[in-house]
Amino acid sequence: MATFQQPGADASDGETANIPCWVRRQDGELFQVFAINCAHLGCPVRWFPQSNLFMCPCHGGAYYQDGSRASGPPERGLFEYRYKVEKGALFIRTGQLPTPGAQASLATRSKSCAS
Amino acid sequence: MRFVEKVGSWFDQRLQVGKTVKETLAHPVPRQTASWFYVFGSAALVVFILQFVTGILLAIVYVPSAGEAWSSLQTLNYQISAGWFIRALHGWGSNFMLAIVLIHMVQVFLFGAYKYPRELTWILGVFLLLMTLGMAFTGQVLRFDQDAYWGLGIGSSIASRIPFVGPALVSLLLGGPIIAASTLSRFFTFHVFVVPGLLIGFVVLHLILVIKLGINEWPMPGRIVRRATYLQEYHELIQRDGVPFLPGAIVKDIFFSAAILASIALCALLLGPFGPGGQPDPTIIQTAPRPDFFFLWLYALLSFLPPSMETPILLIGPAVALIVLIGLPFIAGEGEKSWKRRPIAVLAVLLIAVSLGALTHLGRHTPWSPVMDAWSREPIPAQYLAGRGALERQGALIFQSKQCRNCHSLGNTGGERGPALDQVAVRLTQDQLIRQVIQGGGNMPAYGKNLSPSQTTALVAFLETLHPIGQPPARDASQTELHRLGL
Repeated sequence: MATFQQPGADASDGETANIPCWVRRQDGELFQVFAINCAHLGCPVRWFPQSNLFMCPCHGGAYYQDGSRASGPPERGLFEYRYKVEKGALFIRTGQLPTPGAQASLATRSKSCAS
Repeated sequence: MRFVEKVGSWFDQRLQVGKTVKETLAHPVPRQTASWFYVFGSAALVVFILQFVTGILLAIVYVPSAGEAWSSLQTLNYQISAGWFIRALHGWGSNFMLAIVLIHMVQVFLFGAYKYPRELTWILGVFLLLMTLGMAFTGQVLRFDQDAYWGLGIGSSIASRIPFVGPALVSLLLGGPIIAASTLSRFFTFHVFVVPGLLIGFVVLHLILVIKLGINEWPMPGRIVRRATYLQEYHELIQRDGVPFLPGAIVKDIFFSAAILASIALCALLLGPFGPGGQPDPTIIQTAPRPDFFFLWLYALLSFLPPSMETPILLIGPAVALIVLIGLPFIAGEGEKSWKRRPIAVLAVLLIAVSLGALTHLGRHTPWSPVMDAWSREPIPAQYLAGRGALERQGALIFQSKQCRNCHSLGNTGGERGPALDQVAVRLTQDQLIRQVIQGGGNMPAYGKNLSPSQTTALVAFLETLHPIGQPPARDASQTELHRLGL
């Protein structure tokens, strides 16, 4: 698990500006960066290395190690942040609380850009 | 005394409200309504006043900043004398208020009080219920702990699913892209200024209508409400058999309200304030967020709806409920008032009460959630290991270490997400067990990539021993037949 500081946060945000995420190193500079929020309703998912599953404590969603949906109420896999590796440091593109609706509209937008 | 009278009349000469107040207090009400069934509205008002006063006292100390809210609640709990008690009064007052408002609504519904000419009183009441729920939710957020933080995440995830406007609504709700300082400021403004202001306005209107239209008479089976004749009939009733509200009917209201206040104080004293729970630090993920009592039913519902139905039901359900509640006095504005002759009304109340009760019960026990520490906390019952060979015991170890126990119980301990496995060998043959473990399915993850062939063999060997003594495990019928024929 890694923690990052919300861009643009100030002192009044207190500890809510520290946001966790799951980073999975697949190979060399190939990563997957998952949001902590379950794709069902946003509760924090936990990683269980023994069974190689992410599990959500709220409604029992479970995900495989590559973030894809394993079981439970989520309709999709874990949200992923876009990332880049520069000079040995991992940067991720963040700023917004990942929610099912926002991700969906994001996907639609990028699709229309591509076409 | 004379001086007081003089001052009083000085004010009244200018304000000219004395006569109205006297008339209002002494207005005649039907004799039978001086009943213990008619005390819930006034009790809700009294608890609202308690919330108002304790809320002001809390706001003196509370700091509505994401960085400091949690610690200011700690200050209230531990450093300010009686601070914990005021918090407890406010918290328990909130629970009592919601309960009383709901009981009041059920009583009004079953006594047909929403019918002509009291339709608007009912509609205002529906909005008062929504605002009370709004106060409960925003209040839970102000307790800015882990549950509040992740509860906001759940609220945002639900709101984000509204087509087209969802994401915009989320950033409006949160006051920014994430749950942070501006979110708390927003909820503070709603909880302390906006909703209470609306509540006061709606309560005043609601009360004016109650006084202007008169208290609903005791419903008699067979006494039918008709728009053409009702007002005259009601007028005749209070002429014939009316008592003044003061002192005739108010005594029971006072007793009941006092009993409620005493109960709130007792709960506050004995059970203390609600939280705050853990710090609202998103990096502490060892938490299982739960909403407050009155939202547990929704939390439970969200785990039982099939994924494809979830979004439509979440979005359409509340709208339908609101339309039904507001439409009720227009659909059934006339006719029978007595619940003794309205079986569908009684059944509807019972159905809703049983459903909400059952969902709340499930919300408290969350059988759908994996028990995150069952694999390391609950040992395999000794009787499931006795007499087992090395391979089977190795399988039992894999069963624990691969966290099967988090979702499957043995000996009534462990998760309830999947079926209990105490007798799994009776239900599934060896081949079916292997397939289920490797491929998953039926809401179980596939473990094919996580288990080596030898681990799978050991695990299934253990699972095959789980059957009652004297009852043979399931066998593949075709295999058994081949075996019998010696093939």
